Amino acid sequence: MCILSIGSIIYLFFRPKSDLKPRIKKSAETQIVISHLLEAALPKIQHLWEEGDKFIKKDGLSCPQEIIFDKKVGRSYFQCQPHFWQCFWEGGVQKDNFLKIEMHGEVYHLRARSNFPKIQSYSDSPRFYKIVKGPLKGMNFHYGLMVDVFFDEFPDKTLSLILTDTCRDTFLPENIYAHVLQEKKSQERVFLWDNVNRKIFIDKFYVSNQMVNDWRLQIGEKEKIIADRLKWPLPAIISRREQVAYCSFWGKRVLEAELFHAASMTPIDLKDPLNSWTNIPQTPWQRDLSKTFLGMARINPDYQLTPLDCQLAQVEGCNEKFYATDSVSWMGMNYSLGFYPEVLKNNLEPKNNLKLSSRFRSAESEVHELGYLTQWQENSSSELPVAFRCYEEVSL
Amino acid sequence: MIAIFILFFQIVWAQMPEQWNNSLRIVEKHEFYVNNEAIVKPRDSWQVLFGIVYKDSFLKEVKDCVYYYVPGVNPGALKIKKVSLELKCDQFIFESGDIEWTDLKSLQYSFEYNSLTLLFTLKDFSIEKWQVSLLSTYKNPIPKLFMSSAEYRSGAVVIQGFQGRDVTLGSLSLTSLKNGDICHRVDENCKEVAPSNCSSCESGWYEIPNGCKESPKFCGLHLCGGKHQPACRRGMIYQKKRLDFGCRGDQSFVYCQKGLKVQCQGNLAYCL
Repeated sequence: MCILSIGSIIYLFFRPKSDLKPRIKKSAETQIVISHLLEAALPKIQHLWEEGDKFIKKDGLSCPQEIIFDKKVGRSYFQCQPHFWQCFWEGGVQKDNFLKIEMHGEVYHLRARSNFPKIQSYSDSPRFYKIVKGPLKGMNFHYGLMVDVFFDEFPDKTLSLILTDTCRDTFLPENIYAHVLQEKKSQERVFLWDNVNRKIFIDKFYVSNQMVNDWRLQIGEKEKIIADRLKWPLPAIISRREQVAYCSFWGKRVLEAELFHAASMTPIDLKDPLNSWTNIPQTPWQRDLSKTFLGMARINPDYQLTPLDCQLAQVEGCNEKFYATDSVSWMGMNYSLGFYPEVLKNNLEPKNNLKLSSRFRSAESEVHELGYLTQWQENSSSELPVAFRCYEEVSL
Repeated sequence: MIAIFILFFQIVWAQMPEQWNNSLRIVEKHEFYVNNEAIVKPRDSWQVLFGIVYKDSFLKEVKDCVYYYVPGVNPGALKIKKVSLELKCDQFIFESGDIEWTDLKSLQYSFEYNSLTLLFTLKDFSIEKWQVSLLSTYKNPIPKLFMSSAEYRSGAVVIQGFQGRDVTLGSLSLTSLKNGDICHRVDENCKEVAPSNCSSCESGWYEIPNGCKESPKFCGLHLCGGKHQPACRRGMIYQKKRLDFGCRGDQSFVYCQKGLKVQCQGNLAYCL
């Protein structure tokens, strides 16, 4: 038996070679290991990209040239945020700017490479990302952040990834919805429609200055970039023509009034896709406005706003806060009432194109009610700052 | 003892083409061969097993065609030929491969959701096994509450592939459709002539409702409801009863802005 075993071992070493070479080429073996490592690393990369805010410690961030941590700005601003990605890999978030990846009991260290050209309008540092506009061959996205990563343990192997903006918008479920007409008598005001078989995704927040800056770089308008980092999270106040151009550049459209109402008005029964709309809700959080602080303010001129009120709807007298999520509607859209006036494309009544409810109107104003739209003329004398957001209908 | 065991059951990882580590998908798969069954017919003939699409070092998509000579009187052989993505593998079936291996006893393969395994036996009865993990086989999920469009379309992370440090974005080819191009063909009988390609539109798309579940779609700025514009889609469910929708029939599936009426061009609804 022993002789047989030794003979077998010798055979293994000296067996005749076939045309196929049963050898592992070192680089191929390395790539298999890296492929498996990448599989283990992807959830951590995704976590850093989508939930960057969770990496921020109490003392905030230390990369003022890139992104500023401000108490007026909600943590959603740091999610799917290219400037946070840059800050993290520059070491402005935590001392150890690597992601620890554990696989089969071994610890590996993942880092990003600053392989991309610097953006003079932002800083003199080479970039850890490049914004890519899709669609590209075989890749179905409009906005992507191209990044290069590698493992300390395999420094010669760089892997290119594209991170998509999974934080930006939210799905409007297929259902029957009610749109509120302005120019009809009360009993005829409800206009029913449905989006069955349509895949509609609505931006959660207003388009910000930071987002518009990135767009301006893409279209070669760097002279129009807003340099003040403190203003980056604020809603972008740009012309109507630019709003349309911005949304359409990313394959989107400026939000429409019926979609805004659908996203703001909680359906009576979420489980019943064909529920009826006999009772139009007056606010996103409470169907009956009289039971909210807005109703109380209407009957009590001395009503004192509380911090909670201002979280639900930022009206006149509230402190400014951006990227706040306490006002969120049933499907994930923010700012249905209060905050900024918002322009909406109204296909039925084109003149009624503005949600006027905003931080520029006092709590008792009648404009703070779902369904209330009015007219906005871009070049009118009033210098009302009007925000906008986009939506996307996907056809696969 | 261990050595005897190895002798009888040796499975050696062989030299799979290195470029397959960047594989994206399998195409032109042989229609009759079954997963994990040795290929024995038709004897003494070349067969196309499949094409494997991957990204080359310039991040361009290319295809390797994989052919197998089914052993009979002559021993089996495997050959791989790189061809352009647009060309069919069977066009090159009798041409010599870029790489060829001869003297094969048998071969079988299996293709699962995102991996391919190729197993073949050599002249000396040793077994070779190649395993390919496909980098992107994204299946669009059914959208649900709070899902983002990016998650629905492509997932959070799209893997580009391994590369050297000098690869530039210029090597990524744009494949977008231009404004005005049709991106979803639906004929007058509501038949989908070709699947939607509207995700490839450079800057969004619009549709012209026709009373069907799906309407023809075109790349370009979405405008609806205005004078001379396509009518806006209102839906076919909110009516809560089955109706025979059509531009010349029940028009409740569309609407125009206040003061305008629906006008038909064929079965396409416009506003006037």
